[in-house]
Amino acid sequence: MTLLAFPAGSSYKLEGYTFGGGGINGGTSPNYQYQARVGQLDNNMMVGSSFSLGAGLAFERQSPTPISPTLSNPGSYYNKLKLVVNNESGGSTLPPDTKYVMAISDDDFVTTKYISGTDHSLVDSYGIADYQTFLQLGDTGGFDILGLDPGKTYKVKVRSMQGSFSESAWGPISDGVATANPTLTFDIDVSASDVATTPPYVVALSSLYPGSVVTSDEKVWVSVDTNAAAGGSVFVYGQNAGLKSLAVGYTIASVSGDLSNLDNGFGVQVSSVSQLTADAFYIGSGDIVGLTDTLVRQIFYVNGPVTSGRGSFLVKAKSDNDTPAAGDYTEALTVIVAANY
Amino acid sequence: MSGFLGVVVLVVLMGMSVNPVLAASFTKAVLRYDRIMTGKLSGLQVVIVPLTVGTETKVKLVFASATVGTGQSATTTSLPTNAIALPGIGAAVGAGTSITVVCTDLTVGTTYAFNLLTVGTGMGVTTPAAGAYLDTISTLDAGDSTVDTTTVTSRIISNDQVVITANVPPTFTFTLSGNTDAFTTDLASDSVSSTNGISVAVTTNAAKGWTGWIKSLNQALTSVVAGESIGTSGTINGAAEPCAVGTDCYVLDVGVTSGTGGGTLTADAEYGGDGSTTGGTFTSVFQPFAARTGKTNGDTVWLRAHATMVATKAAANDYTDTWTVVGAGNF
Repeated sequence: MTLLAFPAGSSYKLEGYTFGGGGINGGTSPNYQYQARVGQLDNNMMVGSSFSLGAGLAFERQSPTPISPTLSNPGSYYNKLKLVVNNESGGSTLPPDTKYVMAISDDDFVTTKYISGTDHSLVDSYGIADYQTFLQLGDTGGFDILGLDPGKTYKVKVRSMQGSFSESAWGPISDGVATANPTLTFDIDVSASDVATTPPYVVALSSLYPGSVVTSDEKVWVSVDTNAAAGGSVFVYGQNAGLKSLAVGYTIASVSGDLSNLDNGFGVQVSSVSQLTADAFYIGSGDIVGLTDTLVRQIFYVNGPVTSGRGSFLVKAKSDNDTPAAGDYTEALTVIVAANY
Repeated sequence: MSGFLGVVVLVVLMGMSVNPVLAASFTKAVLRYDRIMTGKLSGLQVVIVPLTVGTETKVKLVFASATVGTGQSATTTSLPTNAIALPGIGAAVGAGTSITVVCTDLTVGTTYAFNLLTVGTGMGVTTPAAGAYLDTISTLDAGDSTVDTTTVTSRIISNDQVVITANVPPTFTFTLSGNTDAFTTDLASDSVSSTNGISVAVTTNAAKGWTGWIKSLNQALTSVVAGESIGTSGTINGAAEPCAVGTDCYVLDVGVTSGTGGGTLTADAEYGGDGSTTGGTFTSVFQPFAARTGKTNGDTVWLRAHATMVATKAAANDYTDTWTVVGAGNF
């Protein structure tokens, strides 16, 4: 008496089958015999707080789980971190067609974002386009994760997918690496040589006799440090658009040009730069100066992060016989900085 | 078999979905304070390059420590050369620690800029104590969701100004064209003779101008050989007087040519003659002969003597007088 009907045909008979039931041995028919076990354990049955043992068919069909990626901040970046995906699992190098997707978190994966395969910025969820090969991810050189917040500690984990295998479980989490805060420091000094001075900052020109160009003994020095990706700029502008005397109600106007060829005027000329670039408007030899009117003008700039950026400029002035005598000619140059983030 | 495939497909799709991009950092973001000295009212310039596609309706600035005025005004003048005005720029509102500026939709990759002024009450921000501050620039859509946002560091220092001082010293140049001046013709009783004239060149930066004075050694043309003199004529009365032929007459005639400068150059009324026959009286004390009321570059003053005499004046060729001509700036 047959209690259970198994599949059978004219040339075979399946003696039994099961999924998760322990398998069948010795399935035979007159012309066929097999030894088989088809089944899987619940994938969640062998997961503890400190381990996860892959089990079942789903696990067998998964791509190997990659080891922890290497996260770093080599440039004191405030908005990005470098990530190197390690294409290894269980001591073996994963095939080159293996693709990886990465999850990132700044709160130990209480909340999770993913890294876009398009531009390496952060996205809320990921899709097939976000998987990239080891080569696409910068090989052993890695790539920069963009669009991060400053001053936060991030961790990353990676999963893989390869060929017809499904994606792996998430691999181990990387060490936490912090983004820096955006930085910008700026200082002004006034001195004949490159030394630090304290405010108030005063440049005293010697007597402006008619027809003679007077150059300041002191230079105005600026120091700039910033980790801003696009650098920054130093700007200068005047309060009076020239040297103004309240006593006689006259202003030696700020000008652009060669003071040696002009009747009178006032301006500044870049004297030195280190790690910075001088704006062409203020570059000149001899007595060529750029004007410092009330419009904010760039005098120095840098196009990337800079450490110990330093620049200086001179002040030049010339009076003529139409310039009334007075001892209170004054201009206040405002020197400011802004970083380009 | 189909059941097996179903399991695989399910696993792959579990983590996959359309991937909306989060609010990202701007491609470029600059927040420039016009004053970075602590405790100063400062305007602001904002430059942004959007990265994220969205429908922006406002730009929002959040300040870590700067004090925000409640009467903001945004403009798009004096922008960086590579930037265009924030489109649809409208009301700027300061409240709490933030300023929002209304705009219309922005285009990814375009550089936009605007300024916040300090010309009116409640405008701009007041800078905090010296230090570094993390301010935030964001764009928001109509639902106030962030489209792009970037945290920037603003640096405040104790003093952001360099004071330039200069002294323009008083200058005064006063030059005589010569030290002798002969009559062009022999003196006669039936005509008035004149000297070639001496010119005085004056340049000064004295804000109130300058004054020239003259005095005469003899107040007459005196001949040692003849022992006679042709005395000056007239009186110091503030008006030039004519030389009458056939009388002893010796007067100073002053003419002026103004240089560039301020104020007015005039001959003193006493000596403002007609260039040929009238003039003022010489004295032994300094009398002003010309003055200017402002600075000048290149004033020229002509001093010329006119003379005639009685018919009985002894002949001699040493009739002489000596003038002392001085000037000073009025600083």
